[in-house]
Amino acid sequence: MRKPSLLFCLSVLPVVYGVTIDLSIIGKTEDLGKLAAATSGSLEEIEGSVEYGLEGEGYHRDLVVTLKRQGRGRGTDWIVVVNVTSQFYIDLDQISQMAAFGGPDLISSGHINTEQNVADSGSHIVLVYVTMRGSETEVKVPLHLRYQATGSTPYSAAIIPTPHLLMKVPEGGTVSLPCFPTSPSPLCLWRRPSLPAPSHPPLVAMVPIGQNNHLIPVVVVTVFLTFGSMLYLMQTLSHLTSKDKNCESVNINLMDIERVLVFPSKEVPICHLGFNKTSEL
Amino acid sequence: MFLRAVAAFRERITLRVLLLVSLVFRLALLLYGEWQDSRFAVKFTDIDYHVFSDASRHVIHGESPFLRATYRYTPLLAFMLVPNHLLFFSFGKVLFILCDLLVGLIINEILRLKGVKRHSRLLSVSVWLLNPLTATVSARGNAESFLAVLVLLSLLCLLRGRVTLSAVTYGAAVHVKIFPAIYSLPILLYLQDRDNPGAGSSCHKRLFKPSSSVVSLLLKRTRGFPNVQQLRYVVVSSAVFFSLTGIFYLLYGSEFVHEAYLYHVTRRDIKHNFSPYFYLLYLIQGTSLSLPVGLLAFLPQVGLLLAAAISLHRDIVFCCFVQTFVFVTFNKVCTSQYFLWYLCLLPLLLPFSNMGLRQWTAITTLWFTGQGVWLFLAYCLEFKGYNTLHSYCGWLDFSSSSSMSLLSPESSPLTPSHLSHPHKTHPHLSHPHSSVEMTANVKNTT
Repeated sequence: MRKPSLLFCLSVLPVVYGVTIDLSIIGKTEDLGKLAAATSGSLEEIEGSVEYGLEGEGYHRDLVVTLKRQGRGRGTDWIVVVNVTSQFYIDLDQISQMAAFGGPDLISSGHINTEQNVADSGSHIVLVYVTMRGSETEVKVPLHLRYQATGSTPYSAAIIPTPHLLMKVPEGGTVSLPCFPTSPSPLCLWRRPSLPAPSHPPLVAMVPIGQNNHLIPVVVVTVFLTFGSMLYLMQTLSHLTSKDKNCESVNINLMDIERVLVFPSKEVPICHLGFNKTSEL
Repeated sequence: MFLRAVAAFRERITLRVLLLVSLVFRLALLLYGEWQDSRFAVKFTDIDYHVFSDASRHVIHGESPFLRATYRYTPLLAFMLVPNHLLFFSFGKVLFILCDLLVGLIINEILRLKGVKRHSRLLSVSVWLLNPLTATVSARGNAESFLAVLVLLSLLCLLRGRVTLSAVTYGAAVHVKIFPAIYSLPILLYLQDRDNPGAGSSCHKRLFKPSSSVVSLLLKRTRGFPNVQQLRYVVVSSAVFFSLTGIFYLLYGSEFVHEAYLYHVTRRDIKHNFSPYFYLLYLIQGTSLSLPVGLLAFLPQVGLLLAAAISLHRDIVFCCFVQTFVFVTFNKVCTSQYFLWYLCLLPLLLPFSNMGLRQWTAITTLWFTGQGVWLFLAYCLEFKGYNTLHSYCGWLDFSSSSSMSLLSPESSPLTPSHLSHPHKTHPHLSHPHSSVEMTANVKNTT
């Protein structure tokens, strides 16, 4: 029996739904991938399949994972390992708000910045916990595509790597991970099952992007409108203040006068009436 | 009979009734929000409210509020919302609703000071208090009404001649959000004119050619700068701003300065938003054009802010409105909440507008239609995946033209009548008792 590598033992920081834990010592995504690929043997206790798909359109999609199991056996607890690349993100705050309404249970390897574009963001590992009840279980994880770099075509393909699947086992596991997406959580043994399902191609989402051939017309239109509006408004302001030039400004010394009778003239309107400091109108 | 009934109904509407109705309206929205939040995944509560609350939770634990990702506000807000966790979660919403009502009171007071009659005042106040947009914003937990209170209070104190108090609230407003700093120049020029009323008068203007340069106009306006009131304003507002900022800097370090202030200055959002620059910034991101274009984009904004300050500071309320409108419209990022920054000043201009109901309806329809079209394109882009980016140009033109219609000289609904028609009543001549003619007993002629 293969013991879990010490490298993959995990110290769990406080975890609540959608909040990050420190998975740094679990290894990077590539290591986990290599581990999964190196796992040998089939899992004779279970027959089933897993399907991955994307629902929705635009920048906001749902990653749909459908687990199907035939017959009875062990392995009712699963982890879907999602490699969150720089091309998309999972909003952990959104996940925590969905928790009360049957949202997915997941933990992340780090804080996921929801505002960055593709060039500035990094990648993360997200573990989605699934408890299988019955012969089929479906879990939806909302994910959001980041703004991609501009190109020559109206759309660009955002690749969502096919998730890995891990099954909880009492022994013979190859990786130690939290048993539950809660805080604190003991560690359990997990391993990748060998399921009789064809390998899934990566999931692809087509997203609108800015087109490089729009640059010149956009520059022209934006500059024309913004600077044109600026000049128009300055002309308006100048026009407004120039009307002031046709009226009189009157200053009155009220030191020796209690009250004042003012008759504005129609021929020379008063636009400003001033008094000395000790008096108020 | 009907007209008598309408007149009688109008008489019954008082400020107290308006406040009561708007309070009930907002509380009803708040309760509806609680119901929706408990039953649906799509929340009524603004996501920012959760950000404020999470930050205040960190404050309770003695931690930095900036541990909460995307918290980019003054820590003062997090401290204010501590009762969210000690009393009840919607405490902050109630606080913002009360700020909304306070805004209505201040608007009423400013208009009363300007000599506006009761009926017109109530009509203007109701534009804010009974506006479903403003009511929804505060009921959802957005903090813009708190800033509106500080800005309007500053203007009210200024108009009353309470310079020190105005400076205190102004310094606090700039600390809460950096954008009120744009009012500093017109306020200083306004204080100069109060001290030396003839400094900006047309008598002096006649000495200059009509095509005076901005520099000569500025020099003329700043003759006698600084006076005592200006100095007092600068010192007091700076003291308040730096005190608040200094306290939080000592508590939270440079992270506070970066998140609360620098982030907003350097922010460049390439995602779809109301800014006319968003698509341009998206196309040039990561290229050598990014920096020079980003700097160039400041020119219209800064130019118009200066021009408005120099030209309109004598009517400080109108000047602040124009400056805020320009700032929001020409900013590199513009989201829906930015509109509230000038919407809170709009009711102050309505009694002085020279427009009728038909024109108002047309302008309002134009504004909302522009926003609706823009949002529809955003929906098609974000949620349906259609590439509507290329059609932004057409709608940019539409949106900008609808915005500019607010400030056109002839048809502007908001140009105070004393500016568009100098022969009409001038607010400077108005008095709380609304009488220009006063009998005189001259003791010594001058």
